[in-house]
Amino acid sequence: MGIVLETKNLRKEYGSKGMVFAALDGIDLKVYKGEFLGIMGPSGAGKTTLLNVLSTIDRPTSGDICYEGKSILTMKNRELSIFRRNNIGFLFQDFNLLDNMSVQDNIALPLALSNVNVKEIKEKVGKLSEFFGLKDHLKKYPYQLSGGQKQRVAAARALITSPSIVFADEPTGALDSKSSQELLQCLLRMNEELNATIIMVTHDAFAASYSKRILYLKDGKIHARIDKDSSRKEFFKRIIDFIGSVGGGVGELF
Amino acid sequence: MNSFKLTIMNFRRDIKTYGMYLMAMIFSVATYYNFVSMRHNPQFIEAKSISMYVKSSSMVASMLMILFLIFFIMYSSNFFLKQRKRELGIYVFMGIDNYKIAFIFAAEGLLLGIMSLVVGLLLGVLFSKLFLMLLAKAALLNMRINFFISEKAIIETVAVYSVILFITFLKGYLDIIKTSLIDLMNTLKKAEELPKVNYLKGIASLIIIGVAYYIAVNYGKFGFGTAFMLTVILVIIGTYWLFGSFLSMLIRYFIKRKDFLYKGTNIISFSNLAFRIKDNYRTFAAAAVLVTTCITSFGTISSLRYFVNENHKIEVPYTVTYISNKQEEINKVDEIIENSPHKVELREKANFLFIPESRVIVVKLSTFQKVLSDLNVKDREKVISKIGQLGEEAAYIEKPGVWMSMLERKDLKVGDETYKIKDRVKVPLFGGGVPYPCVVVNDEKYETLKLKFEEKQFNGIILDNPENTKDLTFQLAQVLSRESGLYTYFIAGATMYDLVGIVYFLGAFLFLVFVFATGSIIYFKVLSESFRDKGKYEILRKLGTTDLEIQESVSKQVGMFFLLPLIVGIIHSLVAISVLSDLMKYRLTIPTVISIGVFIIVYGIFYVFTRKKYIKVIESQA
Repeated sequence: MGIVLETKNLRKEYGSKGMVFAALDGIDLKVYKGEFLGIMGPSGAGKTTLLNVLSTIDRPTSGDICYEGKSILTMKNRELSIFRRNNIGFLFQDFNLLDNMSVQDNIALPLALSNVNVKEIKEKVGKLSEFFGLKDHLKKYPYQLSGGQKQRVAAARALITSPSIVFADEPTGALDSKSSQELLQCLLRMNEELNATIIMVTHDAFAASYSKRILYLKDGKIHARIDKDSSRKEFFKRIIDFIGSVGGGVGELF
Repeated sequence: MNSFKLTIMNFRRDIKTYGMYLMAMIFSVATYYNFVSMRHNPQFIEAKSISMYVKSSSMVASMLMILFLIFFIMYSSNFFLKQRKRELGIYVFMGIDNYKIAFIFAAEGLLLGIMSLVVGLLLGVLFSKLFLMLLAKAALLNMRINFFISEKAIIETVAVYSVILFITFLKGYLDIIKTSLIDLMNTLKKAEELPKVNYLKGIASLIIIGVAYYIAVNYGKFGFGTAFMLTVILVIIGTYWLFGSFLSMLIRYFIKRKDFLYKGTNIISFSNLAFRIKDNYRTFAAAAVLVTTCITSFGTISSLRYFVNENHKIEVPYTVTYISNKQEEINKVDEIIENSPHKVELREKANFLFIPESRVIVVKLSTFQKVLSDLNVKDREKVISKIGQLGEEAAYIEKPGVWMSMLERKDLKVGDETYKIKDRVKVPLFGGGVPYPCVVVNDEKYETLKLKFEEKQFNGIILDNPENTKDLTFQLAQVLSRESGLYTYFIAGATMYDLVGIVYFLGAFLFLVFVFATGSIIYFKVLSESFRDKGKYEILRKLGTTDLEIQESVSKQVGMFFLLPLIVGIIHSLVAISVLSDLMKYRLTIPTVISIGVFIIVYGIFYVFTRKKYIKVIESQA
């Protein structure tokens, strides 16, 4: 399997001289095609920073990020925006749907901005809405949907450009447990059926257990790596055990 | 920190935010002061011939300014309040009671008002000389304007503004006291819903506007007064519904047309517009009505000025005219003119008959043709060929000074005979010195009439420098008898033209004020939109929308705000102007193009500023 994303000695520093704080401290990472990677870690470990840097929303202080072997750090802002639109899908904790567009338009947005042929857009929207069970809601607006439905719309939007990677930042954070489970199932299906590469940042061990590999971040460094080898239940247990062994902040994980 | 300090702190910050409001206020104060000071200016009061006009037009102009101000201040303070309800909510949370908060916010508005009053007055006084000089130029007054500070005008301006400011202060205070905490916290969070479309109203709006246009164009059938009232009311209702419902329909249609919507940034701009129309259509409609009013009024005033100019040509085609056939008198006149610094450019002699009982004069066709070609009248060939050879009929030339003739008689009695009127025209002939309508008959008829009525001789002279004929007029008046009906450029000058000049100038000035007013109303509206849209653009940026695309979508959205009312307003006013020019029998193309041009330029400037500000707001960090 090919490498989709690779980082070399990635650093991100905040603050000015004397008071430098490294949110990311030499991260080396390889993400393979079709992977479902979970990123965990306590608050302030640098999870969101890592996600932002990987997803090109933020720029690292040093180090390199390569998508399919090509460095993205040499790109200008405009190029980067277009790269982001075409190669990266997003799922946010608060959905980030546009309230003033129908479900259909929300999903179509990235392609519409790229001036893709309308027939093609409609076809893709149709396919994805079927995949995510949104067929009956296409004409509705976000304010008419439940949280779970909204996140599924966001997922459809994230996939419409057939991105190399989908980044999910606490995608279940604003959902109740039932909707959370549904959404995680969705992500799993995305990964397995559509062969989508997913990187998910989460606090929640349960959510993390849906991934195939977990990187545990602490103080800006990759502290540990947990691979899934057996059933999800088993994996979940191992995650919990690991967090317990790391100690500290167990309470905040649930 | 006490509440006064808080007020000052907020005020400092808001000067930047609400710079536009301050500018508009300062401009309006300065203008108001000038409008008022005009009627207190001793130079204008001394100039007896115009002081009446100055007084009345200054009154009207300042009244209009007050009306506008009340509207503008109320509108903008409402806007500020809405903008800051969240902030207010935080103060409430911190345990400051409603009364204190109300005071803080209302006092801030008051402070803004006082500041604009002081600065506006200073600027107003500073520019008053320039203003009056422009006025004098527009009114063709030959006077040097001295710098003058009118205490009365200052007092009046301060008084009027204080009252308005105090009322807004009170209103703001009461508004805040009445609001509850939960309202304050939720104002900006409220989930927006897609407004429902009222198709009936949408279709009706087009019909109503159509009916209004029909009534306006056929004003003859309904009577001018009724047609005017009906049109105004229908157009206003129609415009509100047009923006309230028809525009929603239109946008909804575009949103359904995916092949249009999915083309670049259209999807962003149109979706936004569809959701916001409910909040914005009143602004659209008000702006459209204001645009219509401005362009139409400017057209009216311009046509008035044109008519006065035209009339001037008809009334004063010569520099000096008198009626006399005594060679002795004519020689004396020539002698005086020869000794004056003027040069003679044309001498005209023509005979006519005066018919006392009909109060008309009669000239023969050949004389008429000769005078027309001597005076080099525009379109004279057309007029002459239209009249052609007169047989039994006669041509009728309007009395000098008549603007519009409402009564159209078909025939006319001269002596014992009745003439059928073949054509009526408005051309210069003898000017205001012979203030009667003129009947043109063929040469033979004239000879028969000559037997019954006394023939008189008209003498007209055109000189260079007609403006400086005051001394000449007095000299001539001494040598000529009363019956000679001496009439000169100087005598004609001191009448209507000053008034129209003043009205034109003030009208043009008010026009500018209103153009700015509509511009700033739209500006405020768009600005409040920008605060609400910030989140949306943040999402879009995260999803990989380039800055260029965001700017493009902003351009479209902001452009719509300026363009839609402008287009509707221009269409309305084109209809109004076409009716007006029909009524005045004069093509109003030039003033219409000028006023539309001014609108487009001013709106263009506003657009650039608004767009820039909008982008700044959505790019700033939350």
